[in-house]
Amino acid sequence: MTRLIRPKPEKDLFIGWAADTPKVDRRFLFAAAVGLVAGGGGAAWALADAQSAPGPGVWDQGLILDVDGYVVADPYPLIRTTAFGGVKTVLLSSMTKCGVRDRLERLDGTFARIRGSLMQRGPHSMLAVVDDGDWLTPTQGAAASAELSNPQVRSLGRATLRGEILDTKCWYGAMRPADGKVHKACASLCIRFGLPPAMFAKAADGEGRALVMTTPDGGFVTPTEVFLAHVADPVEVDGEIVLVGDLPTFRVQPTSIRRV
Amino acid sequence: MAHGYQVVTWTPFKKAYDVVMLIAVGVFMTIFIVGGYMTWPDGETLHPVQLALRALGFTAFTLLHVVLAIGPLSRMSPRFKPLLYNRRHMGVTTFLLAFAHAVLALLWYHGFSEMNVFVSLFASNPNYGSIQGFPFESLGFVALVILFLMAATSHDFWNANLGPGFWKALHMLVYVAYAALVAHVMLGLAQNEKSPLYAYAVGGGAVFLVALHLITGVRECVRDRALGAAAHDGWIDVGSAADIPDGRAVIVVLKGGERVAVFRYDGKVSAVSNVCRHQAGPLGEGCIKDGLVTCPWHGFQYRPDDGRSPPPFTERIPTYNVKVDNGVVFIDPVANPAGTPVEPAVVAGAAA
Amino acid sequence: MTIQLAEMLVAAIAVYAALGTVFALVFVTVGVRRIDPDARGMPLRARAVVFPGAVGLWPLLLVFMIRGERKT
Repeated sequence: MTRLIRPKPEKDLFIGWAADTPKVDRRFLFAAAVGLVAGGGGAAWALADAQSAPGPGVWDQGLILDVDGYVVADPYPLIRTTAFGGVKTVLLSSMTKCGVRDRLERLDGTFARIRGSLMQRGPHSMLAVVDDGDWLTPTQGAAASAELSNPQVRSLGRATLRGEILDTKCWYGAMRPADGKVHKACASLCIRFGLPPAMFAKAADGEGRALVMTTPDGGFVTPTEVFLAHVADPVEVDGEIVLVGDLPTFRVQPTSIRRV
Repeated sequence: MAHGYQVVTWTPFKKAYDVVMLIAVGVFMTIFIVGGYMTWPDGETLHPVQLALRALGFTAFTLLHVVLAIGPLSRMSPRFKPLLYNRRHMGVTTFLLAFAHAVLALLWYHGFSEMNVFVSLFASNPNYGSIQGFPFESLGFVALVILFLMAATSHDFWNANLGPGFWKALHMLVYVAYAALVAHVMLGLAQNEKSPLYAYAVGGGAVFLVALHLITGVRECVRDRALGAAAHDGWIDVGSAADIPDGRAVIVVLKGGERVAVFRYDGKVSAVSNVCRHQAGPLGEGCIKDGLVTCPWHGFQYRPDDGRSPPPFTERIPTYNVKVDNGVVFIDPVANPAGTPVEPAVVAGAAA
Repeated sequence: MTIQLAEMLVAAIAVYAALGTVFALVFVTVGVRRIDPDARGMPLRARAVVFPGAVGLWPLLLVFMIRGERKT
């Protein structure tokens, strides 16, 4: 079957390389341009405005602090200090997505001064130690030394928490937002290379707490491929909430994590 | 046209086109970033890098919608045709925005560790077996590779050397890239955000584009069926020469689907292939300008009597034998090799 | 995808891109003339524009180059 098409003859055919654009086209194109810019601007505003709260974590990398306290390498590198008023546990990390356990071991269980920049999100704190050699210096014990070196360990009972596993560093302030699937790869890298994982369960007000995850005996959770695959996914975990000094931890059997 | 490749053959229209496009991109990104900062109190805004990441991603994805809408819109109404003319600059801009988004994401989310950033990109989320948990990053990578190949081959050099068929096929992959990006956003950001706006916006964009393509497709099918032409001793009856407006054409769709553009000009009739050598534009919807068949898409030109672009250009299209009998135009459905001279048929009485 | 598989994929992409870069350098300087007579005397900037595409599509261009000049 042969068919015939008769294109509608237009008065002024637009020819791109011609110096003049026909008048009717010029008017239409001007309107299209205005529409594109205005429509795009409106869409941009709506898309920006609807974003979820990224969380209040902060990290001022320019402010380098010297923090005195008692240094612990297990289950995760941390320093217990009175530098911020009262006894406070401050987790330790490097400037990158790596833990500092290997660099800390020589002073594990001693009093020391650590230099770094602070990440803070509510009661959660972490110190990212500076990269140069003098980040760690031994010191003498301070007045509250017993409380710093021997924190009270108190069980708050068993619980089943629903939420997600995330890395403490990003959530404490290195990134905003630092949760959910978009951040999964990053959280998994952080945990793989030694940063403490935390179980984040949202309270009714939306701003939950992140409980540092340990094994049932309070040890370091080995970042196996199976464990890492669950990071940032919606999960349910049974465990025991244990307060170590002021640091809330969640003692779990890593094999008991269930995706929901 | 192919002779003497330049980076861009600038015309006043192209410059205006690019200026408007860059203003639109700038306005979009600025409003998104300012809006993002204003939504949350100081210290609780998105991290600047993550805000920039989103701004780049959203701008690229929105611009891709515009790029994809131009095709069907210009088929619906000729008024949109000028937007087609410099669409490639919009495509290249889309790629560059997407590329910046990808580089930033790679450094921010996959960098700063002991693992290779690309290995992390593919393996940090191993849930390939899940739909909800599927690694959206890999989908973004696939789309970026396609956008790269399209942007990299957008120059006329590639059109000429890959051949219009292969070039067109390569560029049709934009629909694969678009589908991958819909999934990339839906399984990534839209899943992370509480507001359903993102899912609705992506879904709405997809419905809009699919509807636009369907409507134009159906309209063209209906239009193609509008008129029939009868065969006559192996020659095809194309109707009265008087029914072809001067300087314009009718398009004959042959049995195999091949299309022939039959032009009337200066009291003569010539028939050439309807397919432009450049990007397969419909020559029959164009016109005769300065004695040459001129493509409505990008202004490529051919001599109506031999299908050759005027020197120094070297493009050639097939021609068809043509005759006029009692004011009725007939064409021979067998195409001559590209660039074969054919004596134009003279329309009786027109010479006077 | 396991890390081993991802490492193999990344290595394969890296090899393809590295070969493509070497090929593209040869292509835009001398090879381009073999397949496209119009490309003789192409300005340097236009060659730079062709370069990324040659990196991406090098196996195809290699076939074209071996076959010689295209027929219009």
